[in-house]
Amino acid sequence: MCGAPSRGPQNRDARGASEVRRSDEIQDRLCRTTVKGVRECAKGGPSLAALVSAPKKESWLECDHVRGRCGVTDPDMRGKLSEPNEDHGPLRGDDQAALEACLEQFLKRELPLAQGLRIVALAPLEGGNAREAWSFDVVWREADTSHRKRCVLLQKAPAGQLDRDLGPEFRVLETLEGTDVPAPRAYWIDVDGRALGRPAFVLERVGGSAELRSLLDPARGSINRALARALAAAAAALHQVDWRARGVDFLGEPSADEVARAQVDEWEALFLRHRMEPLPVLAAAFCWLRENAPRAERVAIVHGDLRFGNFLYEGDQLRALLDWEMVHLGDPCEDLAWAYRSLWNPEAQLPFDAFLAHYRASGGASAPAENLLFYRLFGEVKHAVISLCGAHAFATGQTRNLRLADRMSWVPECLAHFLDWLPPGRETA
Amino acid sequence: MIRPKPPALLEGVAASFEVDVLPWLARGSVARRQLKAGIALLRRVAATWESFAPTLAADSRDIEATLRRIAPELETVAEIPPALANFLAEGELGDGTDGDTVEATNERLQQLLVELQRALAERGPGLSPIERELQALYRRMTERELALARPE
Repeated sequence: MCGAPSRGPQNRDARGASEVRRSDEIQDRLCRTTVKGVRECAKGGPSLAALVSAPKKESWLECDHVRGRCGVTDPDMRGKLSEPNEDHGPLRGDDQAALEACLEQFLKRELPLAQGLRIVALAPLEGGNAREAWSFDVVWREADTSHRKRCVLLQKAPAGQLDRDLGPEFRVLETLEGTDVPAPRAYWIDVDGRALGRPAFVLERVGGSAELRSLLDPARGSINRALARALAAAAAALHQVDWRARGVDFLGEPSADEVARAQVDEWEALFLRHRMEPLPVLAAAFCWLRENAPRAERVAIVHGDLRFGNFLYEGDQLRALLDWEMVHLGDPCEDLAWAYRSLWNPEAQLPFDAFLAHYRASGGASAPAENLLFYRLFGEVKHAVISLCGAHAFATGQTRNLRLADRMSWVPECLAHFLDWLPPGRETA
Repeated sequence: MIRPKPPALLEGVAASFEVDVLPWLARGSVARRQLKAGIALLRRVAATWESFAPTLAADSRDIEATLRRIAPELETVAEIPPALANFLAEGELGDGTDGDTVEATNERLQQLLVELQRALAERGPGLSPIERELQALYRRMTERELALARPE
């Protein structure tokens, strides 16, 4: 566990040389398909075979699209693809133009009555490790009325820390429209990436900044205190949503007895799938979590990554919660504990007790100390696994994002916190 | 040839990137972000290069000593996993002489700990002297990893 940076599985070694050569040939041919071909393919046009035999131009867009359909996923071959650098990379002009063209076609299909639809000012935004973000406006006319929507396109990264379907996240955002939860409106989704090369959805573009450094700046004390309170109120609003009435049962219908165990199971499965060595301390932490999973006082929609740095703000106003990819049904205490993890802890702005008091005053659920402690411990383990998944993606060549390269070095700190906070007499073995 | 040693080379590369390349890259660009992450990685590896193998060897010695210490009591509370029984029947491992051996030894010992956890978990929750020993071992292992992950 005192991990050297890269000791990932050597997939190429495990395969026959002829198979590798054959796959390389297929991949090379896939990389020569055209943007036009991809668009036609997306519309149900030519077959994959026809695409493969089509000549010429490289584009990360088409390669990713076709790779997804033919299932060529050997990470050793990724280097042959003309992918974007991480979080867009310096896209060539024709790549961005291709994305814009695909987006326009996609939206024309989504808005069949629109006339003169066009994309305006498509530009990359700095995004997270899991999603690539683009800003744009879409304008059109419909029934003699002009329309303009300010939009953000979030596209699944080729590989990141976590591999999550976009569908549940999008549907949750749809169901939150009209509630008091500050969240961007969900507009359109390309769930399987047929239109845009990779799964993606379009959301309302909300104004403001998500920058973390300012949020933790002591010089902005009163502003940041107000934002911490606003985060507590936003959590309370989210946790009060009647998810059954709003049809969020597509996330499952876990009972109050099951939600903690379900989370442990989910993250342990990720741990077992991505670990590159046995990691006994982390394995022991999962044992402890399994044996000490508490009953939830209430089952609610849990954001899963609710924290400073994951919302848009202007002045002291919280505009919208971001990054919903880990949303699920669970114990509200999970969000509360996560919000105060050490890496982004707003304790200096607003002590946790005051945060909790504001959460309760805003209608939030009761938060038993035992559950909060459990989720504080769980949060450390979850963050360790997120880091591990990122390191695994880099070590196996699925991403070139250097921010993920050394993420295993984050794991010991998570484990140290976990061990520090274990209640006396209930340690793990 | 011994010098320059890898840590000095890596630190030199990082310093050069930081002074001669980074300022030329646009703020907020992917290239700048990648380079900053790369510099941080080079610095961490440079700072821990010399201590990596000795730390791993110390970790292995600690795990082995703990396993041998708890073995007599373990027999009374749980079924000893076959791999662990085999290991205990062998002589002491020793440190090995090259990096691969040190890593392989540590990985084997990590796996024995995981199998021991499984055996203890089947027995159900509780805090025996064995669990206390393992708890203390996990803390020591984590401290060693922290020293490599966040060098001074």
